Amino acid sequence: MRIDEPDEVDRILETALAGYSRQEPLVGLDRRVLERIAQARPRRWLGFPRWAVAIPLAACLLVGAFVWMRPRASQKQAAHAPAARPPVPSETGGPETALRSEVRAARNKRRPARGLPKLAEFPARVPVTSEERALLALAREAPEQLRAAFGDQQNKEPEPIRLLEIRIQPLLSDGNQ
Amino acid sequence: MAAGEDRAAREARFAALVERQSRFAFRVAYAILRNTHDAEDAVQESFLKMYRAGTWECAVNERGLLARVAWRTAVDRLPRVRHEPLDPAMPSQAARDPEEAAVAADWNSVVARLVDALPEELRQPLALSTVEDLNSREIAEVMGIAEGTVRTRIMRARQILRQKLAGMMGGRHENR
Repeated sequence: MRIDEPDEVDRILETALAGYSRQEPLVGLDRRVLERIAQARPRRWLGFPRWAVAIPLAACLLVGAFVWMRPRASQKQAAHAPAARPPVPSETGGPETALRSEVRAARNKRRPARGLPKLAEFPARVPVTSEERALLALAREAPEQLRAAFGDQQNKEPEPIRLLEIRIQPLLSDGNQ
Repeated sequence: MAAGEDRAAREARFAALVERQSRFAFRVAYAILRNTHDAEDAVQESFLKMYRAGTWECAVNERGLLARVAWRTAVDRLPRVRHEPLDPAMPSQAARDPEEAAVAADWNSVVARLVDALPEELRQPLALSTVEDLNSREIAEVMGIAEGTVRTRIMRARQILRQKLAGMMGGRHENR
């Protein structure tokens, strides 16, 4: 009998292919699969669902960020308000730089300062105080006396300023220090 | 309370599915990977994917779904674990020494090596066809190709194997 007969080849092939994937898994595959799934399952933290912790935490962070940002924003506004700074000519800049800084300064002058009320008259009128009113009355009634009093004050020579003598002690060391 | 009972019932149903189909999934993975440990890893990963996706609960054909997931997982692992394909000259080398080959001759392993040496597009449908109860229609669903293509590839793979096997056996016969 020839070994390479087609029937023999087919028989060997069929037998071998039938056993190609006939492999049994190691014992306990079901248990290992279920254990792995149990490990991968999301655990509940202290009996609370995660969103119960995450939402208040996110709210706190949001409020904190808002509080932190707010004073910085007002500081920024205050820093921008007196923007009319005199132009500082740079040492390296030429005439173009100077011109540019002048234009910037002029633009800043034109721009109204933010946050300050625009006054109709500057300086604003202030009501006369009681002392000022009494001084005005005195000036009307006895102008000579008032002039004499102020004149005495103006004619009085200021006392000379006396400065204490400064004494510097000579150094005692030999000068190596 | 009802949610807890539902969850427990779901776990029990999934455990039953694992118990029912893990051996089948293992064979599908083994047919592709040809290694017990790699196949088991692929099976575990397949069941984990199915559990997370939740598709197993509404699957009409759970075997088909599982075979598809297991095959996909195994194929994803293939480039990392696949050994170098067998040198096709190896069976002929065995035939050069007929006495030694006759002693060690295990046609099943020879054929298995020949199958391993096939191109993947031919090997995979052939390997899946050796898994119990997987017909060409199911293999086509698993691999996402036409059933006719599956049949053609299996036929072509068998033809190649038959030619190589006949050549080896002829060589051995001539040496004798």
